[in-house]
Amino acid sequence: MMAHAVVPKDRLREILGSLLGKYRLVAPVREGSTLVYKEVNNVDDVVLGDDIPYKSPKEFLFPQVEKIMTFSKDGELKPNEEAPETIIVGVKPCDLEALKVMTAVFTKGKYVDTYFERKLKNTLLIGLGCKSEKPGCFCAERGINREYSSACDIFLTDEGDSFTATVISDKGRDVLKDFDLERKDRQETDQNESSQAPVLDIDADENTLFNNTNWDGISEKCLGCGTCAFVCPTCHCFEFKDVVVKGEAIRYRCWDSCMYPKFTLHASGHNPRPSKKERYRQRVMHKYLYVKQNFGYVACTGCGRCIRSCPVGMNIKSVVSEIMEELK
Amino acid sequence: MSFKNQREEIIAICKNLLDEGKANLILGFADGPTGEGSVPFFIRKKDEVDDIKWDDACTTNLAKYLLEKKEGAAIIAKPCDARAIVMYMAENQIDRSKIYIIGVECAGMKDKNGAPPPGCLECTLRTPPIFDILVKNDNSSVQGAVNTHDREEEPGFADKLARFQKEISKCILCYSCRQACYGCYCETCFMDRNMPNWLPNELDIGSKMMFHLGRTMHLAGRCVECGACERACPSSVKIRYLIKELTDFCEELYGYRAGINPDEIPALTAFDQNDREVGFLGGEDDGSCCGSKG
Amino acid sequence: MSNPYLPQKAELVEVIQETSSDLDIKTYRLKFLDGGKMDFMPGQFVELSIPGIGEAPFGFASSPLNREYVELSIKRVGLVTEALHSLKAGAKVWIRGPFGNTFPVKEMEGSKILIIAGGLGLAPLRPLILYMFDGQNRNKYGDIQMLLAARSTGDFIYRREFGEWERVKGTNIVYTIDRPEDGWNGKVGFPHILVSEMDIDTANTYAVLCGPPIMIKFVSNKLVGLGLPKEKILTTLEMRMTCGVGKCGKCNIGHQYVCIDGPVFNMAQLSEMPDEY
Repeated sequence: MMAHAVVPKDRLREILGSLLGKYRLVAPVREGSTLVYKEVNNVDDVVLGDDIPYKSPKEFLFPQVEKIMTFSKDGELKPNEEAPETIIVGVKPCDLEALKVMTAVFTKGKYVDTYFERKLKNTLLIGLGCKSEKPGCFCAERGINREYSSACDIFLTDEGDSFTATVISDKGRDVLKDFDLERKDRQETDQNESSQAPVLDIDADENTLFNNTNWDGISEKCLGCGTCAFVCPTCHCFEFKDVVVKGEAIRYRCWDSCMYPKFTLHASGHNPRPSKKERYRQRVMHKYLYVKQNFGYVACTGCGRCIRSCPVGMNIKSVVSEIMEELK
Repeated sequence: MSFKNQREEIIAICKNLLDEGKANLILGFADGPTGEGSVPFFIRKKDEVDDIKWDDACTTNLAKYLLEKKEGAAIIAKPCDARAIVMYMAENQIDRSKIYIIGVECAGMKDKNGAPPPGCLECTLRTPPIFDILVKNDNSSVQGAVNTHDREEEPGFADKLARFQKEISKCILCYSCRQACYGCYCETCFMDRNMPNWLPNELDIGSKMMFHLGRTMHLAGRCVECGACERACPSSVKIRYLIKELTDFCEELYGYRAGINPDEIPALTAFDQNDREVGFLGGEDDGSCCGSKG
Repeated sequence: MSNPYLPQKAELVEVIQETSSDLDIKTYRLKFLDGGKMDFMPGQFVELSIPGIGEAPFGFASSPLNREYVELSIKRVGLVTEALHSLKAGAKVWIRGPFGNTFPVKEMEGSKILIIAGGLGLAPLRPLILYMFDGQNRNKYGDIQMLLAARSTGDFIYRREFGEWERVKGTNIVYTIDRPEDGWNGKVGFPHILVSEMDIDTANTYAVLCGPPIMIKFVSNKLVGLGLPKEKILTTLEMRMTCGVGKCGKCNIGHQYVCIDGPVFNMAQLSEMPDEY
């Protein structure tokens, strides 16, 4: 059963400050003019406002470069099973929904990515709603309520001087139980999960979409820079890379992107996706069809980061809208 | 002529080109997806021409697309874009006869906050160095000629390193700068090489320094100062300043700046016995190279 | 759930030079150490690591019934294989698996079998061949016809075993190379042409193909033309892989991952999948 509490803004800062000693605290902070999710050592750096950090918080569960195992000099294998107790505060609903997608991809099916699973288990997610849409955002079209998401442990709604903290999970309840907080009754205007169906959704046969869409025209501007994959909260492709340091071999797992020209390059020199047409087609179809078919979620939550970050203005929302038009 | 007048002239030129069959494809600008900024616009039909955008938000460098358009294209080129085209010709990457350059005089761009975007502040060039037809702009104020490099106040090596590392630590090694840069067109970038594996691609400061230093060296004497790299960077890293040092150094030593003179052979491609050799091989040492003499 | 990226340690007990032209294919015989073992079925693959260099996917090339060792036949093409080719017996490598789906050996029982392999394509089929040839299994399958193709006589792999294979009951093997050579008594010509000369019971045969993509394309078209149902023409695909377990996004064709839904596919499935990737 969900409980609600009223938490004045400086009280929240106090609470986070006292949790800082026991947990790794990750929150949005300002670096120059950019807002980014970062590990904080001082609660005064935490910014809990309406702005959305330019990158997603996925890197705290799925690091950009992660040491997964070490082969010692005398040939012993040591997996790296570090998963520090972490609190990520200020996670927007689009990012919370995106973590649902990543959780499905990494933990469902025949195999489980134990690195992600372990980190997820040790992470407490504190969500924060958005009051306004930013340029490029289309979470509403993806059926996501920007004011509320229950895909977290505690959800904060900004009420001006205070936050309403909705405690959703047992994990959330445990963390807050030692703090004396004013309870709040459930109101009629309470947030509810968005039950609206996404307006932006592709319902089509894979082969039709694959062959009969003007992917050449759609992908023409793309530079293949991969920024979209870096800032995207659901992109999860990766590569292993071995490094030798003082006789010890370390295996890292690093982010990779299907937009890079050499993503699918075989050692023989053959590349099944030789031009940006094939690669951009893969990006859109993977997000809107394949992940849906394999795991039940569309791997796009309308956060708009790719649109804002793309140097040449590739716009997945308009691409998908166009495709939906054509399919009618 | 203002941007508005220039735009009308550009539209007339483009419609003409399509009518006379002189071009099948025109590379231009259109409005960005969030209403701000500009994006590349590939025009093939006459009715698309009226959507061309031309104003002080058209910062994108379109020259790189010429590399993949082997069948040729027309391009709306600002001075910095035209410099890139000159370099492509000097480096034998494009066939000049297949390209139609609509040169546009530029009075300087603005970013969404109204400030000059990367590249514009130091720009001294108003007229494109190469064009097939020129669209003039009589706006008398030219942005630029701000000399941001003051040799007298050279910081020490330790300070230079600290400044570089602080800036570069924001980098996330996404390689957008490389993809956006006109000069980065290697089939396989040195960072992607596998055999041998030059770089472990870890996310530490060493890898980031290696990438940016390597890219800077590869752009020595080639950078056309268009600012595309800094604009593409999602993490707002100020990457240009180091490359600019080399650009200035190259001009100082060899009197050469990339892409300004279409007839000039790039300084680092040609060798003349009278070339200055600074800081090595027993050549002169003007004290600007780090470390000891000889 | 266990960590799918953790490999087991294995020792190279023997390295066999396979091809005499180009010398770029070797067969590695591996024994698991520290009591490790790996049970697999024909069609599956492993991810082999050389610490400090990297990891790459290779299909099993030995009999699944062999409890002593596993074999992998590997061509030198890139970073990992280059390093592997410089290893000698006694070297240690790391292997994780088995991954992927298998040849439908149960469904294939009672049918006649046609194996068509080109060059190194014979390697992933060898587990299937040895499985069927094994005394316990041979009677479950009908006549086995094989068409083994290679560029030249120096490009046949497992040549040392052909004699033994020819002697297996109810087995007929035809060999072919691209161009005539002195002293060669076998066929000359491409598999898709030679297939027409073979006596195929199209109502009751499973065909298994592996080799260069163009060979697979032409041969399967020929077989379909001869009346073989698409569901009974099988092949195994290769793709660049990293995780081998359907998470890293490298090997998908449409919504299917070659590492999980494959690498074994039949022609009916392939014709439903997008042409390019």
